[in-house]
Amino acid sequence: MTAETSGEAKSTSAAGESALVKWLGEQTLPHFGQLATWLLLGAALWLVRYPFEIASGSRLAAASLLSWLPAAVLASPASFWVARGVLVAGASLWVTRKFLPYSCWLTVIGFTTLWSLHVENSWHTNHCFQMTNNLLFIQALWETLCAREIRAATAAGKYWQTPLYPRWVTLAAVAYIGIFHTAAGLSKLTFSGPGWANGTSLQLWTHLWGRPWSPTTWLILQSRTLTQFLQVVTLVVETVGVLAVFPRLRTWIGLATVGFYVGVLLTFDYGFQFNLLFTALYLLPVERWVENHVRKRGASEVTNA
Amino acid sequence: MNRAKASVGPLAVVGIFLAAHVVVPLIWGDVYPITSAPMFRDQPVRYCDYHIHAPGGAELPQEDWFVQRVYDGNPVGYGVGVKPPAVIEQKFGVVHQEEQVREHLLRQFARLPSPSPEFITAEQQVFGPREDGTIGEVENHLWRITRPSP
Repeated sequence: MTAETSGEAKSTSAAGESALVKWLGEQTLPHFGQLATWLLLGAALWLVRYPFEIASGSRLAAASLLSWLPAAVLASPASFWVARGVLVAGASLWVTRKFLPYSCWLTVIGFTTLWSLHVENSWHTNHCFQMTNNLLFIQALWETLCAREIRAATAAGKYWQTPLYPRWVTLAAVAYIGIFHTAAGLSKLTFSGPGWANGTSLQLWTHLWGRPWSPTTWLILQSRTLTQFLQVVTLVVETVGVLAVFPRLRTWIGLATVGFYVGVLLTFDYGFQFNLLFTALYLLPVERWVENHVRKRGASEVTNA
Repeated sequence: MNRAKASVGPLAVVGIFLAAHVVVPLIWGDVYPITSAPMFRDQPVRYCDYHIHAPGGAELPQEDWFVQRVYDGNPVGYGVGVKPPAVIEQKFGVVHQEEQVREHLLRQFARLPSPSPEFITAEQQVFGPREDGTIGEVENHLWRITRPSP
């Protein structure tokens, strides 16, 4: 390769990178981003009324980002109340668009602290709030990194008419949701191998914890073949979750993952409602529906005027 | 659609955030809010329920004898800050033999405040797959365990 062709290749590569950065930075009206924020804040406030317990016993290794705090602070009921207060204050300010972006981080810190305290004081855990927590973090990043434009548009009274929502926000959320589900699939494959989908294990869990009234509980307990099929589909759908970053695959993976959550919620008393909600929000074409709705409404307002 | 000023900064922050969700579980395991989503990663083929009965036949609290279930689909003691109770079922799906059940319960006699019962009857119910494609009780064992002399 000559110096000239090498230079051309570098220049093409730089142009490609720049085009990608520009594409990721393209902004649309903030309606979908705002809808996501409202739903996330609703989910965050749900945590305030969670019945936390402080379990006794010797401490294990780090379970959260707060494990460096003294044990007395971690196990103090006052810490829970402070975190609750921070969360409520942050969410109230964020939803009314006050003190942005500081109120966003107050919310993220309050939420992260509250569930971290739960994890640090428990020998039980679940994965009902990781998704909400991490998506809140992404929304806070948006409000922070675009703070100047958002502030200017708000001050001019044109928040809803100004393109302020960059493409990277949705893509980051989709990638995070994908990584979350792919991790679940890979955990099963690494720990148990493809034989995980044998039908028996899901039947055993359902026998133990399945809702007695649920038709899905009955179906799973009646047929090992059907149960094995469900487990194979679960393993495949979870493992390929991260491929949802590709727009052509997103809706299909979204439909399958939403179906998985509906099945889980019908069968078990697990609190995965918010995982279902946010998977549907980001992986199904909700953003496109919102944009189309806003465009149509704008067009009809122009026609009426 | 408005073309924003191209900037690598926000994308770098997002990249670090996403990379953390890949790397942290591989190195440190679950550190909230980062997780490897380990729920139901195991592959049990059977499971046991344990019940302890007093000499008169009444069932005694499972928690007193550490035969209650701690497992809830997540690996016991993983991604939590407090060590779980030393229950007999540290790993879901393990079917303990009589000797192991006896050893466990004899340890509990030593731990329990006196007066503990002179003897107990331990019931081990084993649930597993049946030939008709359903799940049910496939074995049931009753063992009498006498309080060790002080």
